[in-house]
Amino acid sequence: MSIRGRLLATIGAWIAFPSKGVYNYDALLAEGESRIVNRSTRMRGRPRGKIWTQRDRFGNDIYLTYERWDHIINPDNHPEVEPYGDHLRETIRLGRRKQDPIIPNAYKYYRKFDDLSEGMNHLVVVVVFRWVTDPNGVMHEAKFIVTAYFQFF
Amino acid sequence: MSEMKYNYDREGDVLYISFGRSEHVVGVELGDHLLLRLDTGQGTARSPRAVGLTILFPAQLLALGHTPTFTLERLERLPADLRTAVLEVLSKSPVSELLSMRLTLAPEELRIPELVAA
Repeated sequence: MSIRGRLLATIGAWIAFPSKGVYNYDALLAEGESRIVNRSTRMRGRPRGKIWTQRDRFGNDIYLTYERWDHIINPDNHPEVEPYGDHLRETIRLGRRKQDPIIPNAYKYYRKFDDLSEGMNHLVVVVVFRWVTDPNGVMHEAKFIVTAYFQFF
Repeated sequence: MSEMKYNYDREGDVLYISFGRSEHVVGVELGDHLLLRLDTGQGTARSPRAVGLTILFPAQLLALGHTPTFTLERLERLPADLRTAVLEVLSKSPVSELLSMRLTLAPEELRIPELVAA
C-alpha cells in the first residue's frame, strides 16, 4: 500500500451532528415546517397533482408532482436541476437503482449524463414507495420522486 | 455571508439548508443522506464556499435513532481540486456550525520482525 493510501486508511475523519445538535435539529425541522405553511399559502392557485408518470426498468410507475418539483427547483434548494426535467424521466426510465441502507422504502436512481452543468456527471433522483389511502378508503402504493440533484462520481 | 435558510419538505421528508445562491453549483454526496452543494470558486477565482446542505429523510432517521455519521473516505473518489474545495468548505463556517468533524487515528500496523536464521 502506498504511503498516501496508508495515510487515508489509517486516518479517518468522521462528521457527526453535535450531540446537542439533536435538539437544534428538531428546531430546524420545526422552523422548516412553519415555512412550509407560509409556502403553501404562497402556492395557492398553483397546479397540483402529477406532472408525469414514468415506468422504471422494474415495472414501477413513478410520478413527479408539482409540489415536489416546486421544492426541488426552489432557488434556495436545487435550482440547477430545473433545465433537466427530461433527464429526470430518463433517469427513472433507464437509471441504476440503489435501495437506501436505512429507509427500506427509499431508492436512489442514478444516471450518467455528459451535458450537466459545472462538469457534474450524474443525476440522482430520490424516490419513495409508500402505501397511502385514497379518499375512498382504498389503499394503494404511491411511488413518487422526493428530490433530485447532480453529483460527481 | 448570506442568511442561512431552512426549507423542510414535510411530504418528502427532505431538509434543504441554504447558505446563499450561486450559478456554479457542484454537488457532493458526503453520505447516504447528506448532500453538500458548493461553489468551488473556479469560475470566479474566489475561495470555495458552501451553497447548501440537503438532508434526506431527517425525521425518519431521528425516529429510528440514527444520527447521520459518515467517514470522508468517499471523497477519495473526487478529483484532487474538488476534494480540496470540499474539505475547505467543511472545515469553516457555516458548515462547521452544523456539522462537527473529528479526527480519529487508528493504531499503526504492527510490524512482524523478519525471521533470521539462528
